[in-house]
Amino acid sequence: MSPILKGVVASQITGRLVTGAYESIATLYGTGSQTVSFTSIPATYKHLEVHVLARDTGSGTDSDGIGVQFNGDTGAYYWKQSSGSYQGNNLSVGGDTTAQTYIDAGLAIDGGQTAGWHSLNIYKIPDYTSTVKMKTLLCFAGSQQISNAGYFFQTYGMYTNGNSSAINRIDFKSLGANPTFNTTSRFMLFGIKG
Amino acid sequence: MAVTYEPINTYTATSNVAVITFSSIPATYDDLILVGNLISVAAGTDTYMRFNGSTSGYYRQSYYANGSSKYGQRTLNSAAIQMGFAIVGVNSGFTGQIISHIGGYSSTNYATPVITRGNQSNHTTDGNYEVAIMSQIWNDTSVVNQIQIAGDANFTTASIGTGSVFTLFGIKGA
Repeated sequence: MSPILKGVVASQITGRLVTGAYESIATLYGTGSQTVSFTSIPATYKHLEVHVLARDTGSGTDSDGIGVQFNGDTGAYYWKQSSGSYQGNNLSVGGDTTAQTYIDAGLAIDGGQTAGWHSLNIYKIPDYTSTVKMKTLLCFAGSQQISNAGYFFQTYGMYTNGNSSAINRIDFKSLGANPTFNTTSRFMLFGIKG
Repeated sequence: MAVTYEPINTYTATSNVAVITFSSIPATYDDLILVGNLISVAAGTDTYMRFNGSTSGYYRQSYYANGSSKYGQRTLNSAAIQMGFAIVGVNSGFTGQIISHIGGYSSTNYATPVITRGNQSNHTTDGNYEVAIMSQIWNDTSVVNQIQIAGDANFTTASIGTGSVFTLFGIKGA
């Protein structure tokens, strides 16, 4: 690194931090199928975080949702509340009034959009090994598009069937009309120690 | 498992400056996290970011809330990413925070997407506190090796106040 402070004679560079609490667990890429799955997630961390760059294989030019399931459970045990903005000054607020079969959290840009553009999603899953709490997630999702149709959403989701079980599997499902993640879609799973 | 969240560098402004530059960023990570704590300068406007010195191709969709109001905002193909926060100089010396997640910066598979969260507290009345979350992208698949942060859209006014601190972290996947 070459520090440059325009108009400043000196800068202060701090020492390196000790950050051994944040570890990479696995990285997966889309294969042209609907679902990307992390399985056999170790229970040796306190929290999980997933960074997702998502693009589907459809020919559209909009963005689609991503569904999240835990432990392979396809039952109607998932809820969400989200808020955000899109296409300039439009605001969006939405929540589930009945249980769903996945948490609708995250975005995947359509394959017909500008080459190289992917939606960015950051998922945080706290205390995923708890045996007494319902499991939750927080998702920040953004999808920019070359035309006037960008999106930003933050979503809180809950899974109500897993109080006594640690999360050992996470499935990400493309919810688009052509629901398949392309091969540059990247899913990075991290563990954070308590 | 590999330890993967590492500080790359920290800069502390020792005077009011126009631009802070992280250069020669190593391409050995997958994502970057930029954490900033800023001090306002009366002459400033908003905070802006550029990659590799490029002055075009930035897109943004933002969600703001201040006082009792909330609104969205969008920019297309602008000369820098507007990040908001901290430098609106109603009262000099007030502070704000920025946390930007920069995805896929080291791969030519990706135009560089960003999610920024932050806030500012630049006045003692409720309506001048603001929180914001936004999605951004740089329409270029080049590897990002330089990040510039400025306190005005032209990157010319010395509006990042003395004591402002930015730290850049690297995150490596498995």
